[in-house]
Amino acid sequence: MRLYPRLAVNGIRNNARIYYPYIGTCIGIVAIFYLVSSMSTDDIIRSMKGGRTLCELMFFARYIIGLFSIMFLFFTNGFISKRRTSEFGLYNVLGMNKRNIGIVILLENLIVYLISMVSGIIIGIGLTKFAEAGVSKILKSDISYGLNVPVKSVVETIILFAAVFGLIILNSWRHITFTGAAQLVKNENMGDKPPRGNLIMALSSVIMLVVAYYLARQTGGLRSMLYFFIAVLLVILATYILFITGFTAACRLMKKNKRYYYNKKHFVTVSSMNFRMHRGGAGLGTICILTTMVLVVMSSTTCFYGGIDKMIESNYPRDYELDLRPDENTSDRIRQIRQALDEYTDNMMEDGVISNVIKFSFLEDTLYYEDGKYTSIDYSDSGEMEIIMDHLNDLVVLNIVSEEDAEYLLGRDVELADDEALVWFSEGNIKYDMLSDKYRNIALKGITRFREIDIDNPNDFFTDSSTAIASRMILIVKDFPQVASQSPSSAVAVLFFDSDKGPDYDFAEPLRTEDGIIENAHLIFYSKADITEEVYGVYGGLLFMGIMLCIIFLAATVLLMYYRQVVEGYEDRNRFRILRKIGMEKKSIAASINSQILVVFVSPVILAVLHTIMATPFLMFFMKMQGMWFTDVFIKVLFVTFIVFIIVYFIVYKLTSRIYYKIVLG
Amino acid sequence: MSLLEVKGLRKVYTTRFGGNKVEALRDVEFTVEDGEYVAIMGESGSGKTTLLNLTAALDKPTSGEIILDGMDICKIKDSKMAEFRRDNLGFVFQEFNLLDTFSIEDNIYLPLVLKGVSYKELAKKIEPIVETLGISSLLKKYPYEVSGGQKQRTAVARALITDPKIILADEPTGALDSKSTDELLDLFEKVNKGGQTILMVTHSVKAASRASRVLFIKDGKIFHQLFKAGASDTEFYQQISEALTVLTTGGDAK
Repeated sequence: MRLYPRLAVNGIRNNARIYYPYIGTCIGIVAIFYLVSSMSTDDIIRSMKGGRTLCELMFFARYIIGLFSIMFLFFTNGFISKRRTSEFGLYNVLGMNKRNIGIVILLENLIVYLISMVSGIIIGIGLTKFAEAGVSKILKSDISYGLNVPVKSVVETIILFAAVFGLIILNSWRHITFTGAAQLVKNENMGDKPPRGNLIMALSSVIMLVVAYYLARQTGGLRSMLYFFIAVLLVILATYILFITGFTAACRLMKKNKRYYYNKKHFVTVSSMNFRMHRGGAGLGTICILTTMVLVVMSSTTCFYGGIDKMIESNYPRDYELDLRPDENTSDRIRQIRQALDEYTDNMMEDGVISNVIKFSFLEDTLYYEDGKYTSIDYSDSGEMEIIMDHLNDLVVLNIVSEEDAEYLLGRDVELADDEALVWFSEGNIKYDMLSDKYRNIALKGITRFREIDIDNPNDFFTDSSTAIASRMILIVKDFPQVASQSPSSAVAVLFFDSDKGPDYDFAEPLRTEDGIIENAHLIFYSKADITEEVYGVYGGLLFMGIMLCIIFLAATVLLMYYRQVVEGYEDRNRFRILRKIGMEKKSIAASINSQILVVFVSPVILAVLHTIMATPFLMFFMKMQGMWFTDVFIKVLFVTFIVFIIVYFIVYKLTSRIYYKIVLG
Repeated sequence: MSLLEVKGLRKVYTTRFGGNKVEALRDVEFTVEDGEYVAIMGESGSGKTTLLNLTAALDKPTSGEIILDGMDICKIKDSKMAEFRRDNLGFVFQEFNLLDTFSIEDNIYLPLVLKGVSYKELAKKIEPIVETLGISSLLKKYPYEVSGGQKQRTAVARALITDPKIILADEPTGALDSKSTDELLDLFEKVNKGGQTILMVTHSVKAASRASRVLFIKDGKIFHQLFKAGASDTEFYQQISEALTVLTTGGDAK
């Protein structure tokens, strides 16, 4: 072999401990990128129910994963080239000029690139088969078999990673070019300043965390999205500052307590921790953030996915839904349309076409709170968007139903007097005079008082799920058509039903031929099966994307931890050797190492769990906003995710600390 | 009875795959009396570092005995070894072996803290020592902030603070400039005059000339020894140089 290729191959071989895991990660990331890219054009998936939506999601997922791959590989390589600086310095001293070293770097990266491309794409192709099977499970759809290798994805993968490696090579060259030979040789052993620990910084990071947590809890309205976004940025910043300064500050406090510090059990541990946390703080911060992302992404995508059936069930209690909306909001028209729906239902049930019906009319209006009154939003006025934006936190969705429909839905008598309305309010008590004068005088004319009613499950009133963002009020009135006709939004007559007829059956046909009905009303028809397919496509796709992202995040976490152990192992090796010479027992050394590694490993996870718990109210709010009412599932999912993650993390911890021990005590 | 007795010491190194055997020491026998200052000299590879490592219980001899204050250190259990070393021996190494994570003060405290001494006593003990060694003003500094000579004095302070029976010094001047070397050797002499026994391995004639006795080692055997016995440093230096010349040119032992 010629000199340069030999040097490059040896360079990789001799640094196996850091290079092999890096190559492994490269292969993994290439495989996942290829997988996601090929899935976005995969015909087999596209042919599944909801598969088209999933494919579109994968198309976007490509960008996220591509971006993350670039950042991640770039930074880990920075770590490798730092470790190898002294080796290159030696080459330099021995007479290789920087151009020659540059060639060695180029060759090394080329080798890694070729290995990861070939194995990554092959593994990716293999994984596609598993992914297709997995996706068919997620989408609850059948699968056809076949093998396709989209050339476009292969080319895309090759080009993306060529760019990543190009950047990496340029960065390594830059590093070599701007460092002198003598400096190159001793780069690794430069004496570090003892960290003093900045108490003010540490405190400020804690304050930032508290503020962020507080902001994250401000749910309600669209403004909370902005709050949460700020909270996320604050948390990331605070996490890094806390890990970089917090522990050294804590060590400093411990050192001030002489009786604590000058204790056999604490002395070595505290002072080593001080250094370790100072140097590794940023790495730990990254581990913490990645862990938080894994927890959040995994738990929320799983929860979304797991809640699909319940969500659909609550919005579509039967196989089909048929809505009739009058074109004119008069009480006659409302009555007429309801009559038509009643007749239709009776006829169809008699013919045995539909069964198991739920039928009612309702009206949906939006109120906002101002000057102690709930006022209806006037959509005829052009300023309505302004009102909505100003009152995002105190919007109320008002549903009005008739006495008969309410009794039908609740399954009990409500005994309503002529001059009263029954009211249920999600936020608690409401007095009649809290409605705006305009509303009381026009829509609720003749009604003088409210009587509160208990409704165990407001979702029995199957209205729009968008109510989740705002508070909800249900009014039960005697003369529904009259009240509805005076309201700015129109009433809807709804029919849910099951049927033995297939999906191609035209259920609306009798309504269309009925005299005048179709001209007087808008007819909307939903099939639960179609909607289920669509929703599974979206949330199943999200889940799949979540899993892919988590695998990458997890791989990043593992690699970071592994590198930390290797670096710290080499740093601590000499230190513990000295300690043994001076007379520290092997047992005490092991105990000290144990408690150090434990703090290093456990602290990011504890903080990540705390972050996730603090984000939970917002995540639940967000899910409700997406129509996912069943957030009690979320807590369970979160708990399971925590447990699974901690088990995986613990295994990684055990494996990587073994390497640390090997280096330190070997 | 002598403080340190080495009897019939032999050390054989076996290469990794059990092929070649290298005899690093054979039939080494000598004693060190309480309060003595003994230097061991020899060329690189002569076995002098092996000898020091065995005396320091960092390594086990193939055969023979090393008796310190009536106790055979080769018979001490592994689990008790660290404790024994901490309580009885003081170390000074060529490369200082200070911990960069500790301040100078904490580096000196280290062996006592490991022993479980309370902070009150620590503070009491350090004062006279740093006074003698002239490093009182450096206590709060970190190793990377002080010079090589100061580092080595810190190491000496660390060795002295446990009141060891014997100080083992491995090329203590090897990494120092000539001024620091002189200062350190002065210190050793001062400490020795105060009753501290010192066993030093060196190949510096200058360092050895300050000792009260010099043992010469060659090819794993004690070859020769010289007593200072009232000679001046310069005279003793002369004698050592001559002995070394004879040693390297292959003369027989006297």
